[in-house]
Parts: sequence; C-alpha cells; structure tokens
Amino acid sequence: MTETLKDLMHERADGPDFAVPDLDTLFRDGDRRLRRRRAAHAVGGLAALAVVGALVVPQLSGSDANTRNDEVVAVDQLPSAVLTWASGSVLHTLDGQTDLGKQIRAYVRTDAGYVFADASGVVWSFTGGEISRVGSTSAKLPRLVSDDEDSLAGWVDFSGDRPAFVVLDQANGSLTRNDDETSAAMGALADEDDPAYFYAIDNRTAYWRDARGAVAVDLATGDVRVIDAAARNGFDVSDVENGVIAFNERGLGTVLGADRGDRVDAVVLPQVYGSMGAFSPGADYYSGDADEPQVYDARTGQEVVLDLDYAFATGYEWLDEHALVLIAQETPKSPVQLLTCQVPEGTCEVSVPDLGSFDDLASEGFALPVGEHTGE
Amino acid sequence: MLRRDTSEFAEFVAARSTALHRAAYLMVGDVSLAQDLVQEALTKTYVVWPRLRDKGNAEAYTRKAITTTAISWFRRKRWSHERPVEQLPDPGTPGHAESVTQSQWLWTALQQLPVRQRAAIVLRYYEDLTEAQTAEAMGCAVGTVKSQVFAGISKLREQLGDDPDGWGPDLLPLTEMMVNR
Repeated sequence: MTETLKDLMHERADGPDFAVPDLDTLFRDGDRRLRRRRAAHAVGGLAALAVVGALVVPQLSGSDANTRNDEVVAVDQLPSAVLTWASGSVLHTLDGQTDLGKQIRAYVRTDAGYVFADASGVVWSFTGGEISRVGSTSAKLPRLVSDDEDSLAGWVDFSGDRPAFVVLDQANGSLTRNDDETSAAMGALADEDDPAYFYAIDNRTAYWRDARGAVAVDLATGDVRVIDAAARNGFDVSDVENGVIAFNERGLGTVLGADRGDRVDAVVLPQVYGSMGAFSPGADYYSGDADEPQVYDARTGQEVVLDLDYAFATGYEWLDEHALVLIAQETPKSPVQLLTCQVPEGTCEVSVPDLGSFDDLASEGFALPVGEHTGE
Repeated sequence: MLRRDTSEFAEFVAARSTALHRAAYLMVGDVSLAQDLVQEALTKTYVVWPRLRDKGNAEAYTRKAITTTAISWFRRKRWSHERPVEQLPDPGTPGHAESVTQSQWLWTALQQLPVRQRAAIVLRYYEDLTEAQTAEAMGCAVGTVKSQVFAGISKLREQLGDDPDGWGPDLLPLTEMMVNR
C-alpha cells in the first residue's frame, strides 16, 4: 500500500468542480459589513491622552474661536461608568437620558463625564451637569480618545497650520497642546500614510503618532518614548492599558507588549485580524474587532468563548474588568442590540434589546463611546 | 475608509479561489458547504483588503479565515442539521470491505474527525504548512497543533487499523507527524 493520506487529500480535492465565487454578492455583502462596521465601530482606542510640557490653558480662553469657552449649557447629569449610547443629540443610559443639545457625532467617557464632538467638529466637555466648548477636531471623521479610569480626554486639532495633539483634563478644565513633531502635510485618517493620529491615553501617558512614529508622552514630565519608529498609520496601535500596548503586526496578528521590539514577554493573538480592539481596565482581557466576538486572556493569549449564537456581534467597551459590552444582531434582519457578557465565564445577557436597524441608527445619528463617528 | 480596490481583489479571487476551495472542501467534506465557506472567507478578506499592506499575505489571511470560520461554524453546530453525515463502514463486516475502496474509507474517517483535528491535518498534510504556519492559521499555539494532529492521526489509525487487510498503518503518516518544521 503506497497511498498516503496526503495523496488521498490531493486526489479528493482535485475531484470537484467548484463554482467561481459570486463577486457581485461578495462585494455587496462586504460593503454591507463595512457600513455595519462603521456604524458599530467596534473600536479599541478607548484611551485617553496626555501631553507634553506644552502650553497649559486653564479652561479655554484667548481669541481662538475653536477653543473659546463661550458656551456653557446646564443639563441633567449622567453617570459615566455605565453602558451608554447616543442617538442624535441624546445620550442614553439604561436608566435615563439627557439631551445635550448638539448632535453627538462621536464621544468618549472619562471618570468625570463625557467629551463629544458635534457635526461641526466642535469638541464639548460634559461634566457636572454642564456642557462646555473645549476645542475642535475633524468635522467629517472626528476621533476622540480618553482614559475612562481618569479624567483625561484628547483629540487632534486640525484648525491651525499644523495638527496639534490636545488633552483635556475634565477634573479641572485644563488643556494642553503639542504640535512639536507634526507638519502641515500630515494626514488625519487612520488609513492615510503619515497621519497625525491619537492612539490612546493610559495612566497619564499619551500615545500618538507624529513625525517620530508611535510615541508615548508622559503628560506630567513631557518625557517621550518612541514605541514604534516604523508606525505608518492609525492601525499600528489599537489600544493601551496599564502600559500594555496592542500592536497590530502584519502577517502576525495583534502583539501585546511594552513596545514594538518587546518580544520577551509579548503575547501574540494570531487570529485577531482587526486593527481595532479594547483592553479591559486591568489589561487582563482584550476584545478584538471582528464580525464575531474575539475575546482573549491578554496574559496568556487563550481565547475566551462567549455563549452566543449571533450573526454579528463584536465587543467594543468594558464596563469593568469582567463586563464586556457588545453590539450585536441575532440575524441579519434582527434589531441591533447591546449585550453585556461576563468574562471569562462567557455568559451574556441582552442589555438593550432593540435599537432598530443599522440603517435606522445611521439616519438618526448613532454613536457608541468609542470616540469615532459611527454612522455614515 | 479607503476606497475598495475591486479589480485587484477580483484578480486575487480569480487566481486563488480554486486552491482555496480545495482546502475548504477537505475541511468540510461537502462541495456546496466548501463554496459557502470560501465565499464567507473571501468576504472577510474583501472587508480588510485595504489594510492588507502586503497583498502577498492575502491568501494566508483567507486561509486563516476559512479555517477559523469552519471551526467556528462547526463549534456552533450551525451546520450540524444540514451537513450530510456519512457513516463509516463497519470494517468488521465480512465481505463489506471489498465494496469500499481504501480511499473512500479513509475519506469518510477523515470527515468524522472533530473539525479542529481535521483542519490541522488538512493544513499540515495538504497545504503542507509548517506547524507554526498551521498554528497561525488556526489561531492556536504550536503545541495545540501537535496535539490536534496527533489525536486526529491516532483516531484514523485506530479506526483503519481494525480493517481486515490491516492497511491503516501504511496509509497514514507515522513519522511525519512527529517532525517539527
């Protein structure tokens, strides 16, 4: 007997005639997923920021119209360490809602409140029952970052002659700006080459991409550490938590480590394809961006299986070390839901059963606390 | 969001879809399911196409999507009610062995393996991937690949070794599965 298992598999595999993939269907399904993903925007980057020893402005002041604190509006307070979503100008929690009076195009939460960007690219701080204008960013595709265990939030201000990284401390209203290593030619979007891009804020350190590559900037001292000199765009780093950085490495997957060259203690998540993801607050777990839940123990790389049978579900934020929030659809025709799953147990419950369809959400102006625009 | 480069992607599909279908077929044992699996994997590849900086990695990405999607679908038993179940002929039945070719017997036995063991065997012995490459495609550790391959081959041997002609051991790789590449 000379036939081997390998020969058998080749014989079998060569037998059938396979139909050519239906490209029209493939493009249609793919485009639908892209729209859905943009709507869901299961992004990591719930970071926060920090800034160098640049200018510190107690509350916004001066003549810059984009940063003038010329509007303060009183509204109902909302807790921030809870599950939220935004529709139009209304910020919802499971127990209540507050109309912020501006379209909430993108938002993040901190331990002091919320920071959001409106349709004009104006950045607002919502804390203590008051809304204050604090800056500006891209109107079309705003990106905000925050440290939800701290009072810091950040964004890139494109209104000047070069991009500037801005950090707001909601605890005292102070702002810092840094444009030392940016230039007018730099792009704004994650997909672009050479963008000025804010990755994350973690533990009073800002992580962004400027002319030096991906850098970590100590906000208290201004010390700068280059974590990836080869970082090309916004997809190179997806999140930072407790000093652990999620690097996306071509052909390898997501690598968790202190810097790009750190391979000694790095954990590799080889099947995580997405360029976005979110660490749990203690960095024990990591949720990757995908059509299906991709949750891993960040200490070991082992996958955490969630007890779900949904056509689409992806985690986007952590309420605590073990509670992951997912946006999901049970079937392609089912309403969009928000689920909360316990990790590592894998048990899940429906927190918000019916948000309507993704098309409904996009038309209303839907946002999740991931810092980016979610509708299209 | 980057503009989709459909022409470049279409070229990739035209060039590699047959090879991808073949591997998928070995994993699921059914032509139509293999086509569904490849369609799904290619859709996932299309979604991330702009992010694949090196388009040379597209096939590896799609292979990974095929493997993990197949494992995921089987794990969820989504296909369990649809998938045709072939019964492995009883090797001890007198006169029956002659009516079943060795390859058919082995094929049936292969399809009855748990999906992760089957995927590991297909990737190692059909795709000719290294253990490290197989681990990447399956999203698991190299040690897991070793154990999955070992368990799968052992099960095949256990089943086929019982046949009256005793051809199981010759049909299956023995030393290959112990080699680290």
